[in-house]
Amino acid sequence: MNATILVVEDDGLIRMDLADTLTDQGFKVLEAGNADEAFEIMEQNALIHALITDIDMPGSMNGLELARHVAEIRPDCAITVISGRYSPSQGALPAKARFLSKPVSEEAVAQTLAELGVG
Amino acid sequence: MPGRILREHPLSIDTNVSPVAEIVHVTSVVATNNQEATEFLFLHTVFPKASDPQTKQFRQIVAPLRKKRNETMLFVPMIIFISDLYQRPIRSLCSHINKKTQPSATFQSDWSYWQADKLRRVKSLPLANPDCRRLFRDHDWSSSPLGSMDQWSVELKTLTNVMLGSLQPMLIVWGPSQVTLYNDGYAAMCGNRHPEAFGQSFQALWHDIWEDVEPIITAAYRGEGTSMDDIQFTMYRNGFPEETHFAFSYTPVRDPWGTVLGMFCACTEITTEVMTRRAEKTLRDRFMQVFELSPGGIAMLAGPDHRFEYANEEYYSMIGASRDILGKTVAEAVSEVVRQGFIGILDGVYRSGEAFVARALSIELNRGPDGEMQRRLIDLVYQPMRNDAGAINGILVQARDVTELRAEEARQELLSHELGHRLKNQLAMVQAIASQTLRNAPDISTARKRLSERLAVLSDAHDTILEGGRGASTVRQLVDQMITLHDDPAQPRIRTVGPNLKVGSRPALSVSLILHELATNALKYGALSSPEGSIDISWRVAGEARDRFEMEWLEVGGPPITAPSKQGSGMRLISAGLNGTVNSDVKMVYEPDGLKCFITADLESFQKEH
Repeated sequence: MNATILVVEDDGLIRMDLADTLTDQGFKVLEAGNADEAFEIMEQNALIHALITDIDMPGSMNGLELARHVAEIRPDCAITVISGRYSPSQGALPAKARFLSKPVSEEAVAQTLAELGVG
Repeated sequence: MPGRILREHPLSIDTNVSPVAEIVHVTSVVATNNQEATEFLFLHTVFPKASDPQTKQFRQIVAPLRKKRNETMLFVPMIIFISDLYQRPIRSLCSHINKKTQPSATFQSDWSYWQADKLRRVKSLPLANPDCRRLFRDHDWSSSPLGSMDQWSVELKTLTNVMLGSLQPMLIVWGPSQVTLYNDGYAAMCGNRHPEAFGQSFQALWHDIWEDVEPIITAAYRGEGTSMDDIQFTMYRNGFPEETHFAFSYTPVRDPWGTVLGMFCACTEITTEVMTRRAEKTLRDRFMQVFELSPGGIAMLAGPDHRFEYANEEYYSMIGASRDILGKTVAEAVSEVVRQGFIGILDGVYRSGEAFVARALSIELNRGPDGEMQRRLIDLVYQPMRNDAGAINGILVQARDVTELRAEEARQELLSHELGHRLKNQLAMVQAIASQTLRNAPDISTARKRLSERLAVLSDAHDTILEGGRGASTVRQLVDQMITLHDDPAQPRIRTVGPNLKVGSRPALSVSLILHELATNALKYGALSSPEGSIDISWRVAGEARDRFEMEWLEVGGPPITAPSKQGSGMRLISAGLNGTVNSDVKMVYEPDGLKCFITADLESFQKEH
């Protein structure tokens, strides 16, 4: 079974391209424009293997808060945080979470997911 | 070869020449320096007390002799004695002293002064004014209005002796012809007019400044003395104009009956001193100007209580321009700094001699228009100042208000950070556009062309955003930009209607890209591909709460269309929606008469600057 990845990114173009990239890599991709949409999707999908989220997004919480929240409610979900603005300290990220700086290359995404055991 | 004493013997004289002192004993010493012989008189004084029996005895001895003497004659020796006995050789006075009078045995024993060291000093001294002594000796006085020297009056002889014994520049102007006599010191002030001026008229000597000199010499001949600390002349004594300065006194000289015989002048040229003082003042003024022009605040504090001696304009403007601080201590003049610990810092610098340096120091100053407190950031230096002996006697304060500068630096840092963020986001967007273009292009040539056009659209949209200023671009500007590129102004086929609605930077890029993709699609397959086709673009604020942005793209009159079986990259870019907005939606409706596109987003996020 292909792993399911939830991509949370308010920039539709970037989100779409990242989704295409992950789809090409064989993953099943779910898309959300902000944290609120992400929670709705997670309620409808019990099995999400990985979360890739931007930090700076409109909505009730930003990507870092979303990542920490998901880490609590879905401890098995691999988390990758991406941003072009922030470079969070390791303490600000959930344990085992990874950070990638925008723009994100296909190779970087693939390698990070592999290191997190998502495949 | 050293000089030697030829003769020495005591003389007794008998006159009282001053209300406070009497000359009671004279010793004559004739010495030679192996070139000429000189007689030196050593004069002794006593300060008599009426009750002193010796004084009474002395008065009895000298009283008969005093009657024979002209007291005026001994006035000059008295001056000489008081000024400097051992440096004033007196020759001509010998003739006025009764050499036959023997000293009193009593006074001889009481006031014996014969001391070998004094005599040695006398022996080694050169004669003063050698040049002018020679002029006096060699001058042909018989043809002078003054006549030969042995016929000179006592007053002139006495003054001449005084003048030739003095190291101070002196001048005698004598007789109705105003014959000029002077010593070596004065000769130096005459420049190249010396020695010709010697023995000539005073006017001949100072003809170039006679306008200034004449009133003074005339006053002296009227019997009015003049004394000035600094008189300025422009002299040509050396063949060129020179600014000169003198301190002098013109003293009328009278005979015993009060007739003015001439004028005696003791003077000093102070040109060098005046010029030095002027140069020092100029230098001081320049330093003060440097302080005044300094872009930073400068103040000088004196003493251990830190009293303001000086403050420049900038310092005043920093602490509050209306304050009166000079002469006051820092604690008095800028009292609000006391509780902030600055007096303690000043004390420490004064005590230790170590400078205090601080950057962006926070300070509260009552510097507002009405003396209200303001918090400022200052760069501050307290530097100890020392006197010639090296002891600390003050503190130099250098201060610079950096409040605005630091705020600007912080703003620049923020902008720089923001620019980096935007750049990275733009790169991510370009990456996505390139990726989508390449992913869906039929061949590399088409991909290159499409990518180039899309990047150009992004670039134009950026120009619009930058031209209008951040947060100032409008939907109208973006639509017009697209029309300029895709419509013919001579036969316009794109109609627009909509309010002047601001759009945030991130959604603006998406709007430009979507409009471009829609227009490109219309040119290829839609309304703009046939001459009869046209497009209506409209936008508005919608929703009951007027919190939604809506835009419609309606094509009419074009060829019949159907929904594509596969989305190309252009349609995918359109469907990505408006970047940076909440609840954004893009709906494409393929109707037979033309494509309809409906774009909506939350208005607040559509207009927000991220």
